[in-house]
Amino acid sequence: MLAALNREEPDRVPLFEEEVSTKVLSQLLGIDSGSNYQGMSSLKAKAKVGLDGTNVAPAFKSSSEFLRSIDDERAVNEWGWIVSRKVSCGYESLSEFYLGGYLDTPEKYGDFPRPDPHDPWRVENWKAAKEAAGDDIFLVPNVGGIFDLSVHGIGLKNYLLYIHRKPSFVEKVLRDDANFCIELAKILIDEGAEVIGVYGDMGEKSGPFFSPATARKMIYPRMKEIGDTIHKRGALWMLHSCGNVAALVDIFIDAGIDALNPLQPTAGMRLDMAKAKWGKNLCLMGNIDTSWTLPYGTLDDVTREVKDAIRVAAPGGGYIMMSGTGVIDGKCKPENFKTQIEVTKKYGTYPIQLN
Amino acid sequence: MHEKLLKKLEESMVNLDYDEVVKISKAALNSGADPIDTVKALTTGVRKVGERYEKGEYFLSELILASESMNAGMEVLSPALRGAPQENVGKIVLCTVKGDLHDIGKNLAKVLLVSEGFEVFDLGIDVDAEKIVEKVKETGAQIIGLSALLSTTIPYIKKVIDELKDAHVRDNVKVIVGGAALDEKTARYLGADAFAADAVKGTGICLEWVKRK
Repeated sequence: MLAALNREEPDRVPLFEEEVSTKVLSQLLGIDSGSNYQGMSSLKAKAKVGLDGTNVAPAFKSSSEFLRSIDDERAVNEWGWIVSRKVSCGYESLSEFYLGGYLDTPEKYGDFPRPDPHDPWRVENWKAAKEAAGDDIFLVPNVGGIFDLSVHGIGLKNYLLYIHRKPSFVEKVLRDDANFCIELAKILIDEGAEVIGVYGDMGEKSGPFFSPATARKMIYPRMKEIGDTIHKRGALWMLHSCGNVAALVDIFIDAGIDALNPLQPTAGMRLDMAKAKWGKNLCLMGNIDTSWTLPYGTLDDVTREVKDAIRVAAPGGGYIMMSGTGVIDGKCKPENFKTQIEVTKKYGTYPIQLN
Repeated sequence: MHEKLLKKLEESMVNLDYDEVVKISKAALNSGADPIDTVKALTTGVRKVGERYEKGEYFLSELILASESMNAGMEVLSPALRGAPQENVGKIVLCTVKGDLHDIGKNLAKVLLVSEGFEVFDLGIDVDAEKIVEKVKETGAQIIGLSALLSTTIPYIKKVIDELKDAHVRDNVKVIVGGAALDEKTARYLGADAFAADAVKGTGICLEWVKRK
């Protein structure tokens, strides 16, 4: 993992996924991998199925014990997400039970207690994950995002509107989020984290959510602060952003990211384009299609796509095999996920022999 | 006088000046400008915003601002529009499918479709197939627009299309789908007639369909 992230050639192309459906894991392994995709038994299952690395999320308290009731059906979490009370902690994917943003005005945002990066739960969560993972799987802790957790707390539509209508409020939220990422990154690196994950879906299918000029003015300064902190402490920075963010990647590179995922293929993030444009500066991760190939494709479809990805992106190092969203959800055919892993192990050994 | 004012309204929309859109909409109304012409100024502006989005000059955040500006302008004008005949190029039933609560794309599509003269029946979010079929039968809509952001709700699109077939209305409607979880291949596999990568493209496809008839 570290060799690839440092854009060196490792022994083999590593395999990484952020979330893997516990249903898929259980079917592949014939065991109960738990109901919580963020649980410790899920970590062990990910290692057993053949992944080299995965995320954990000390920035996000996912358990129902941390929710505050709004009414019989809804609750709010520490980031101001309104969530369904009908779905317990055993949800398959975060986005399935998200109902909207509770902090939809600057006043509500100001009155709501900010999550504390120094909350002992976070470092304890990281330590427990490390212990569960052992040497079996490489862990990347997620410290939140520069355009992620608060965006959902405010509501994406509101946030994008506020960029134009209340820019000083957006600047404040970005500062708050950057400070959270910075403080939590410091804590986790001091506790052994070698790579820090920062999240922020900044694109839709056709392009970024906002203009590159807006990104350079508002987002870049906060990203640079995060990157400088991570690097000063000797760690690497993995950025997640779904969507077509091609117009923003140079800004991300200037801010100091070391790796970019998931290179969503259905959003036009082509791997050949990414390797040519950014391969000298970034470790590329992802690009295996989760809209068609993994849920509906044949084993041949998966084999072809994985081999193509290796052929295009792996030579010279700096590529990590991953799905194009980072999420293997319950819709994915287990045998297709298994094939993704097996084909990577068969053809991803260096030097890459695929023509 | 009205012509200049309405031109200014259109420009305010194109320049995404929300406050000016509201101010000039009120001024137009108070000065006796035809409310239909005033709506046309707004919708022409929205159309031009869509063109800038297609060229890569505007982005989703600008589309959302335009949509909010349009809604604000229409709120000013709506009392004057009651009972006034309006252009109708076609009817479309729009919704986010059952199990999915995301609606940014759907709401943007609605504003753009209305600006192009469609009568839009917005069923909202988390909508079951039966309700969609009922609405198509009730309104005679020629198009159904389905939004699905979550990959887990994609199979529900197939259910909607199957129920349209069972109700013997599938041949009377075109189905267009959009959402982060979808692409062209998946949309065709599910039985849709078209995939919209974004609200602007989707509106263009719907316009083509009604023009061809």
